[in-house]
Amino acid sequence: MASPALDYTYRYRFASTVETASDGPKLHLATSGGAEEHPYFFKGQLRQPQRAADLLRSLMDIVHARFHLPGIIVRRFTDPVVTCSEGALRFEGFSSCGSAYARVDLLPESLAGDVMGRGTTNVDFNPPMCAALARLRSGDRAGLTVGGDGVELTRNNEAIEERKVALPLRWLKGFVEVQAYAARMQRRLEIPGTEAHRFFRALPRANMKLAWVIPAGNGLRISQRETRAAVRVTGTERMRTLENLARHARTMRVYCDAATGASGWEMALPDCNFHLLLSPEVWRGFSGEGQALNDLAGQDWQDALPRVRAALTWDTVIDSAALATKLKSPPEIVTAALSVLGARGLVGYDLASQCYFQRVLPFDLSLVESLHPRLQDARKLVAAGGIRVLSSAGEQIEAIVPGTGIEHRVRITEEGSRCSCPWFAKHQGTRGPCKHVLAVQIVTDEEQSPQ
Amino acid sequence: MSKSNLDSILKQGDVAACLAFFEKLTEKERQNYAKQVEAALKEAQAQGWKETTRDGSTTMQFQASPNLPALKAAVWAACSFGTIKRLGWQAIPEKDDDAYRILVTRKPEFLNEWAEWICELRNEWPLVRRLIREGLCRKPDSDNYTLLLITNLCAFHESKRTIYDALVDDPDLLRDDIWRVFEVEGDSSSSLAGRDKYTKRPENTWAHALLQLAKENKLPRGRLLDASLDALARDFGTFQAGWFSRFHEALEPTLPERAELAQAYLALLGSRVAPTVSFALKAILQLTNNNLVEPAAVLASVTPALTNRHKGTVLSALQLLDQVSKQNPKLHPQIGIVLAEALLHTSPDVHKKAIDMLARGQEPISNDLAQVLRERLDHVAASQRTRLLTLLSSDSSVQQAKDETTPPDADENELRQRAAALVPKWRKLAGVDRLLASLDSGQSDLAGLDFDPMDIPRLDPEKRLAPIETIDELIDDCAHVLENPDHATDLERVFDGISRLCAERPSDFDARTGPLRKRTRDRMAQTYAAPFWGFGPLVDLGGLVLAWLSGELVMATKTGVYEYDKNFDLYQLEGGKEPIKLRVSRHPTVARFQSQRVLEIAQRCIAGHAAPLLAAPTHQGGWIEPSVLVERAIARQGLAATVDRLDQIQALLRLPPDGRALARKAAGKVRGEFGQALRYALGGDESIGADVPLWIAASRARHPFDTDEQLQKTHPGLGPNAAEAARYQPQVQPIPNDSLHRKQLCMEVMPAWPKSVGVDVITVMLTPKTRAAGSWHLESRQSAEELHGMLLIWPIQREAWFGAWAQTFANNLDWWEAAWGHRVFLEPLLDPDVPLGPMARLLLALGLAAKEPGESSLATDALIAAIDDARFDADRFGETLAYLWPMLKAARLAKTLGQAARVSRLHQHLICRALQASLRGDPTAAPRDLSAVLELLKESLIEGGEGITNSDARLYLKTIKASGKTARLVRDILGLANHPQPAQTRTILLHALRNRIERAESWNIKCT
Repeated sequence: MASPALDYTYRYRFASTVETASDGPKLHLATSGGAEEHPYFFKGQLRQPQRAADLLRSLMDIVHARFHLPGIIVRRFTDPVVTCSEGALRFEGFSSCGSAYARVDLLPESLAGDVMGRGTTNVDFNPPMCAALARLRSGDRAGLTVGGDGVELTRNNEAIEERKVALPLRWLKGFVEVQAYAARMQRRLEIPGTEAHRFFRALPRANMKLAWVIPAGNGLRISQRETRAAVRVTGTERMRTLENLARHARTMRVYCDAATGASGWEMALPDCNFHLLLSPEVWRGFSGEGQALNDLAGQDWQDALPRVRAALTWDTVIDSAALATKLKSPPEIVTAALSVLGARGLVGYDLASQCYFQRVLPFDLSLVESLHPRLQDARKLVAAGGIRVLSSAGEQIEAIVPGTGIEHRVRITEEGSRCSCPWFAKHQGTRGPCKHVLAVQIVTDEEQSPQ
Repeated sequence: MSKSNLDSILKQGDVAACLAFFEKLTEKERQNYAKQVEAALKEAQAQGWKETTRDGSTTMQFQASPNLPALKAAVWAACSFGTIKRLGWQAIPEKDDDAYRILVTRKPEFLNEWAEWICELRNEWPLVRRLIREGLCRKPDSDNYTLLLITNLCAFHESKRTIYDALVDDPDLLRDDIWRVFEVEGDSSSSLAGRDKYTKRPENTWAHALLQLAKENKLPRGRLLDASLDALARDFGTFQAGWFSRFHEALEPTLPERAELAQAYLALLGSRVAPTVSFALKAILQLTNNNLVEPAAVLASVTPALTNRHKGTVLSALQLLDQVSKQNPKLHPQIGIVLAEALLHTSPDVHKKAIDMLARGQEPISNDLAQVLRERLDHVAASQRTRLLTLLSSDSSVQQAKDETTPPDADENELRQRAAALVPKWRKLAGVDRLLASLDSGQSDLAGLDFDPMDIPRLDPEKRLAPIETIDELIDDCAHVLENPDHATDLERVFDGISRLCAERPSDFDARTGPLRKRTRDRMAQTYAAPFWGFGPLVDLGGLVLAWLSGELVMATKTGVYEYDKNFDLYQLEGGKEPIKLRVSRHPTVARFQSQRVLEIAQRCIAGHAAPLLAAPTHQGGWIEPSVLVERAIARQGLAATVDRLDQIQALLRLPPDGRALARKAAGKVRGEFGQALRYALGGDESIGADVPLWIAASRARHPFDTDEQLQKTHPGLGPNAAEAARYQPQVQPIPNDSLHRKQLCMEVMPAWPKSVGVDVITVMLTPKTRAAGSWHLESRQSAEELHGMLLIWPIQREAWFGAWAQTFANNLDWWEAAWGHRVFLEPLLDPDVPLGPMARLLLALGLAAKEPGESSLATDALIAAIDDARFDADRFGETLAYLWPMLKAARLAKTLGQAARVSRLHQHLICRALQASLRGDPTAAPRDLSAVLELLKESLIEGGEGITNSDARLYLKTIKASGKTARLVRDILGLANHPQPAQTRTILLHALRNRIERAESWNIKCT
C-alpha cells in the first residue's frame, strides 16, 4: 500500500550547478513554483563560500536522509524550499521520513548583492551540484544566483529539468506542524562551537534509540538519565550532520519542547545559522502530532487572520508585539493567528530570534484540514450526531461520544482534556487532542457561537 | 478461441500453446482474458502453499504447481501493465525467450514503462538489453538500468564468461552505458564494489574488464581517470567509493597525469568519506613532493582534511602541510591558521604534530592566530598544553585565565558552615569529617564511602506515591498502564486500586468501563499469551482487569505434556477468535511468582472481597513504609477477604530500613503467623514458624546482607539468599573450544541451590545457579518491562541483583545478540543509596566496556553519579578492572572513562587513581589495546601534575613487554614526576566536600 501523497512536479529551467568561471566559482540555484513559475530572488556573492557550502551540504544530508524505514514510505527525493525576505535567504528541508527538519539562514551579512524578489520557491539541489559544493573554498570569490532566467544554461528557453514526485502527506504535514513545535521550545543548553565539535565527535557511531543530552564540564555529553537540564533525543544519528558544522560555529544552542520531547539545535555562525529540529520519535515525524489542532478547531483568531496576513511584508522576522499594536488586536490573538498561518504553511518560526518569519510554501495547502485525519474524523463524528454533552459549566465539560460498540467519555477541564479512548490512554495528550475531544470542542464551540 | 480453450491450455501447463493462443489476438481481445488468467494464477499460487508439521511446529511450504509457467506467460500476454506490476515477481515468465516472444508479438504501448519497471526489480537484463538493441523500447534513464547492467551483465558466479567478454560482445555499451556506471551509487550488493567483492574469479570483475579495455585502447584511459575522480566527488558511501579510488590507482596514473588532475584531487579533500580524503592526500603529497601543485591551492583546500574524524587522515594532512611548509617557508604564517584546525581533534598525537609544526615557525605568532589558539587551548591534550602555552607565553590573558581556576575562600567557608550544621550521624556516615581533615592537611583522601545500606533512610517524601482514590481515576490509570506496561510502579498502583475498589459498582459502571473492557480484550489478544502463568505484566494486568470488570477468570487449561521437552506442559486458552496453544515451564520462575500474586487479587475481585493490597509500594522504588504495612495488615484482619500469601511475602521484602522500630510496636496487633513474621522482619524477638517461604522473606527483610543464624538453624539447606546470604565468586575463563581464544565471565554462586524450589521462595529464585563456561543457552531473555517489575521485588538487596545478572551481561559485552533489556541490570547503579559492593563494581566495569552505546553511556552515568555521591572507591574499582582486563576492550573503556573524567577535576582525579590501581597482576594478560587506557592515564596524570604513586602500577609498567605506542606511553608515564598542584587538590577536595555535605543533607531531609 502506498502512503498518501500529493503529486507534484518540479519544473526547473536549468539544473542547479556550480560553474567554474575565470573570476571564481558561481553557484546557480534553479527555482520552481511559488508566486511565479521561476522566481528570481537573488544575484550576488557569498562572503564565506566554504562555510555557506558546508551549510547547504548539511541541509542536503538531511533532505536526502531517511532515518526511519516504514514499509509504506518509498524513497522520494524532495527539494528544499528557499525564502527570500528582506536581505536574508532561508533554505528549508525535511528528511524523507519527515523526522528531521533543517534550515539554513544566510543572513544579510553573509551575502553581498541584490535582492531581486521576495517570496518562497522550490530550489533544485541535484546530487552533482551538492558534490560540487565541496569545491568551494574560503578564499574564493564565489557568486550566487537564486533563480534568474538562466539563459546561458537553458536550451530553447524550455524547462529542461522536470521531475515528478509524490510528496508524502507526512512530509507536507511536517512542514506545517513543525512551526507549532518550534514556537513552544525553550532554550536549555548553550555551549561554544569548539565544545559542540567535541560533543559530536564523541557521539557513539551506533545509533541510539533514546538518549538525553546533558551538560558535562564546559560541554555536553550523552546520557541515559533524564535530569532537569537534559534534552531528550531519539535516533541520535539524526544529529550526525551537525558534526560537519560545529567547527564553524561560535555557539550551539539546544532547545526542547518539554511536552512532547522534540528538540531544536541551533548552530550560530558569525553571519548565518543552521537549525535542526528533531521530532519526538524517529518513527513519528512531525506530522500527525496534532499540535496545531487546538488552534485550528478554535474560532478566536478567525477575525484577525486576514488582517494579520495582509500586514506581513516579507521582513526578516515578524515582530508579533509590534504587529498587535499596529492591528490594535490583543497579542494572544495575533499569536494564535500566526500559529494558524504556520499551520497553513504561510509562516515559519525562527528559534534564534524567537519570532515567526513569512514563508509561503509553494504547495497547494488550501485544504490543510484534509491533511489532519484526526480533525476530519472529529468532523465526521459531529456530522454523525450522537454526541451528548452531559454537563457544560464554563471551562468544565463532560460529554459522551459514540464509538464502535461503546461510548467514550470526554472530560474537558481547565487542566486539560481526558478521554476514555486508547489513543488518549497511550499518549495522555502529548500528541494533541484525540478525535473525540476535538469533536466535543467543535460541538460546544458551535453551541456557544452567536450564529 | 474461447475462454474454455485457454482454460484447457493453462491446465495442461503448455507454454508454447499458450503463446500461440495469444499471438494472433489484438490488444483488445487479449484484455478479455485478463481477469481469467489473473484469477487462475492467484489460485495456483494459493494452492501451492501447503501446511507441514515438523518437530511439533507447523509451517507453510510452497510447492510450485506444474502449470505455473504457462499461467505466468498468460498474465504477461493478456493483462494490463498495472496488473503485471502489481503481481510483480509472481508473474515474470520463467524463460527469457518466452517473455521476449510475448512482448514482441504483443508490442504493448507500455513497453518503455515496462523497461523502467523491470529494471527497478533488478531482473531480466538480457531481455531488456535485447529489446533495446532491437529498437523495440527506449533505454531507461533511471539508475536502475545502470545498476542492472552492473549486477547482471555477467553474473558473479559465472564460470566461463567474464564482464570483459560481455562488454566486447556488445560494443554499444562501450559508447554510453559504460560511463553511467561511474554515476550511480547503488548499495552494498548492487554496485561496482559489491559486484566485484562477491565474485570468486578476479578476471570476472568490472575493475579487471575496464583496465583491460583501457590497455587495449578500447576505452580512453584519460576519461576513466576523470570519471573515477568524478565518482569520488559524489560522496558515495564508503564501501562504494572505495572501488573508485582503488580503480583509479589501478590505472597507475603517471605524474603528468596526476598533475592534470590536481584540482580534482584538491576538491576531494572536502569529501565526507575519510578513505577518499586519505586517497586524495596521498596523491597531492606525491604532487607536492615533485612541485607539481600550487602550494597556495593546497593551503586553501586542506582545512576539511584537518577536521576529519579519523586520526590517520589528519596526520596525513599535517604531513602534507609540513611538506608545503618546508618547500615554501614564506607561507608559514598562513599555515599556522590552518594548523589550528587540527587542534580540534581529540588525539594527543595530532596535537603534538600540529604544535611541533607551529613551533618550527620563524616568525612570532600573529594576533589572529594567537586568538584562535587561545580558543582551542582547553581542547589540547594536557601533555601538549604546556608547549602551546609556551608558544603563547607573551599573551597575558592566558595566564590570567589559568589563575582563575583557584577556588575562592568564600566557597570553603560556606561549606564548613554547612558541615558544622549537619546532624552528627549523617555527617559521620557521609565522611564529611574525614574530608575536612584532608582539606586541612592538603592531602587528598578520597576513599569511597563504606556504608551499610541498612543505615540509610530510603523513604524520600518527594517520592511518595498517591494511591488511587476513585473509580474514575482507576479506569484512567488502568487504561494508561494497559498501553504502557513498562511502568512497573504504575502497575502496582493499579493492582492496589483494583484490590481496594473492586467492590464498588456505581449504577453506570458498565457504561463507564465499556471502553476499558473492550481495549483490555484487544490488548490481550495481541499478546498471544495467557494471564497468570508468567507471560509478562501486560497479560496479567489484562486478566486482572477482566476479573474486576466482568467477574470472569481467564485461565488456560492444561492439555498435556510437551512431547519434545518434558520440562514443559501444554496449555490452551479458549475465548478468543481461535484457541491459543502455550508451552508452560514446569519449573517455577520469578515471573510466575509475580503472576500468581496477581491471580490472588483477581480471585478476590471475583469473590467481591475488596481489601488493601499489603505489598503496594508507598514510595517510588518499591518501598513500603513499615507503619503503613502494619496499618494495612490490621485493616485486613477485620475483612472477610482471603489471605493473599504471595502478597504477604512480597510485602515483607519491600520493607525499607527506616521506621522499623516504631512500626514493630504497632505490629503487635497483627495476628497469626504473618504478624509474627512481620515483627521478626522489623527486628522483633519472634521464633521462626512453620511457613518456610514466609519466614525466608521475613529473614531476608531483616538481614538482607547477612546469614540469619536463627533461620539457618531451624531450616538449613534452603539455598542462596534463603537463610544464608548468597556469595558470588566471579572468574574470567577461556571460552571452551573458541578459536579466537576469547574469555568469558563465570560466576560461582554459593551456597548451592536446593534440589527443588517452590514459586514462593522468591529470594532464591532471584539468585542464579552456578553456570559453567560456554553455557550460552542459559542466558536471560527477559524484556525491559519484566526486569523493571523484578527490580521492585527486593529493593534493598541490589548486590544480589548485580551478582545475578553480571554473567549474563558480561557474556553479551560485544553485543552478539540484541538484548535491549540488559541495560536494566545497570539502572540500580544510579541510586545514590546503593553501595558499590564487589558485584556492583563488576557490573559497572563491564558496562563501561560494553559495545552497545546505550549500555556504555548508562554505565558512564553511573560512574559519574557514583563519584558525585562518594560511593566510588578508586582503589577497589581498579582491583575489579585488574581481574577483568583479559576480557575487556581497553579502547572502549578508555572512551567511557575519558568522558567521565571530563566532567570535573574530581572525576578526573579519581579515574586516574582507579587506572593506576588497575595496573597490577600479570602484564601478559593485558588487553592488546592497552595503549588507549595508558594514553588516558598519561594525560590525566599530566593534568593533575602527578606521577605514578601506586607501587604495584609502577612494577606492572616496568615489567610489561610492549613495543611501539604502548612502549612509548609506558616510558612517558614512568618518567612523570609527582608534583600535584595544591590549588588543584583544594579544588578537588572542595568539590568532594560539597557532594558529601549534600548527601548528608538529603538523608536528613528524608528523616525529617
